Amino acid sequence: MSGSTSPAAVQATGIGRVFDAKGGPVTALDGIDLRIEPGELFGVLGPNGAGKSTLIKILSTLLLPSTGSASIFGLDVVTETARVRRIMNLVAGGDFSGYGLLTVREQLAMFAQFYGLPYREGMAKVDAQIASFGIEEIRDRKISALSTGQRQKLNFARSFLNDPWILFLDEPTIGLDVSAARDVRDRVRAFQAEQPGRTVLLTTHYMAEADEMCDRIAIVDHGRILAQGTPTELKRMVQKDALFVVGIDALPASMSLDSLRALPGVISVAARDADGSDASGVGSPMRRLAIGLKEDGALGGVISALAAGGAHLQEISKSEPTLEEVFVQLVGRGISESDEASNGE
Amino acid sequence: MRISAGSTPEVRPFGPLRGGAADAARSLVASARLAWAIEGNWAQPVYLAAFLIVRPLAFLGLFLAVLSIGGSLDVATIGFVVVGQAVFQIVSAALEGPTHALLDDRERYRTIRYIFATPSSLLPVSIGRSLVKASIAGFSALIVIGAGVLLGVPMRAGGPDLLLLVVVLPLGLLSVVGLGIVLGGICVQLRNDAWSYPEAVSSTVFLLCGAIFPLEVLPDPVQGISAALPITWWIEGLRRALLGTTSPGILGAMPTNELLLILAAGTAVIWLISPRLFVAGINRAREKGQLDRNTAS
Repeated sequence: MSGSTSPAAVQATGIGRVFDAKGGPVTALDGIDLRIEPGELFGVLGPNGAGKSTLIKILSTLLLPSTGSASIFGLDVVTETARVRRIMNLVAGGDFSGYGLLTVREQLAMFAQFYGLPYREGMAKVDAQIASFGIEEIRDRKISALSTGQRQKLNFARSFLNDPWILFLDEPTIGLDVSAARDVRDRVRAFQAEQPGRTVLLTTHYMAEADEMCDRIAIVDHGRILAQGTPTELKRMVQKDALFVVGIDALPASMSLDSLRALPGVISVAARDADGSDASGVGSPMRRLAIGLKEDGALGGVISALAAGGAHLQEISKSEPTLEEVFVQLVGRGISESDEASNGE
Repeated sequence: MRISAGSTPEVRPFGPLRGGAADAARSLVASARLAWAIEGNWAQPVYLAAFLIVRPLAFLGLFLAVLSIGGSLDVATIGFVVVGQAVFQIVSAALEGPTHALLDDRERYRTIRYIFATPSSLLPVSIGRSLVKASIAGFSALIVIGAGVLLGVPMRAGGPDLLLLVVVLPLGLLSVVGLGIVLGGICVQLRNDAWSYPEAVSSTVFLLCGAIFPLEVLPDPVQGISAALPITWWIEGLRRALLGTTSPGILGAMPTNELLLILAAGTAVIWLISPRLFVAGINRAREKGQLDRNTAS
């Protein structure tokens, strides 16, 4: 636990979960420690079967942990479930939940009652959410007639009815087209922007989604957190040094790669052709240099040296590893391979 | 209420605290509306008629045919069977209602996780669904009684004993719904095949509660079980209210005020126990991970 005394939005300590199965006990979660601060958008990234949904189920009071404890804004998810449920909501992606016989408005109205809203207040909130999600044209349409994207909008509209402090999103964009997925991401951002302190815990196996949306990310596999931090921190795990790609017209004849490597703060210099492959031979025409530095500040010395040698600078870009690379390094395989493996189990 | 790291949710974010009973009532009404939408949604009215009218009448005809083979088919016997058969329409609906509601939400509509994650308890939600099913079954019960009148069953002179009816009907209904939620709490811990368990229980109760034959037909130890079922006394109370006569044997020997006492006490005991058993069952399902697991796929 961190030194902070204020309640975390999520505090999980040693959460474990074992399921009984025909072949013997299956460990879905194995000692998860997690602290999410109010206002954070925290991502849990992992392949199918990593334990992401199990974690969300425990935190959203749907499932009991086998070991450990967890709290939401200081409320225990096992012993204070009624209070936890007042301040949280849940959206899962990829499911076709809903009463097909009810209209959009009827289903939202029903849930407003379940959230404890008096009828008039509930209906006002229902209509506000329908307007907010731009689904007025389907408000009287039966749920059985909705598209996947419309169902997910309905699901999100439901989840906002009780004005939750924390929103658990379990693969919310799975199965959605690009446009619908973007709408969902925009709504989540807007939800957080509307009131400071609103917290989101998002599970996903879309690297780009996690990278784009999350303040911090935990990478999980086989029920364990392998690493957590900001996307930048995670990327630094696989690339501790700053890596720049410098585009020049040609390496001056008076310079060599070794002379560049000798500059202060420079760790490595490699020549790259335009297609990214290594080039060889000093003095041969080249366009790009991949330069590893101890810190960003060392780049100035390199640029000065190149300019002094007569090279013309054409581009500078900082090269960062992707979350996919982080994942591969931590898990030992790509996320798509992991999904295939778990699907094949 | 503003969310901050230091704040704790003493007050609901959306407004002042509301009572637990008010919340439960709201949930019960909302789930009853849902049940009405689900149960009343028949694509073809002819199917609805078949279910609510033809089916109970077919069973009534079957029982009467069997009794006629034994040569014991007089109007008193027909009256005995008609009321038992009518009431049992409600009994089976109320017994099976909570289980079917929970399994429907888990396996078919896949909404149980979203309902469970609300401040509302699944208890009023299940009760609301069950009560509507029982009410719709009440229509079938009226059809059966109407058929009995057409068959010449002598009803109570001057019409039903309304006072007795008003006391007996809700008490019995409560007792059956109470037993139904216990079944729901058990079946939600099981996989998809739990659908058929309430029907098995319902059929057993049908044999035990004196719906179609007097308790004396049963072996002595089984009669004890029958006498312990509030449903047995509910049916007998309704026979007295509707027919103005008592059943043969030990049921008929019981004075009406004592019958009411037994029914009330039995209902009270059921409601002392059943919510706790239901909650324990839900918690066990939550512990096992069965609560929102779709077991059909």
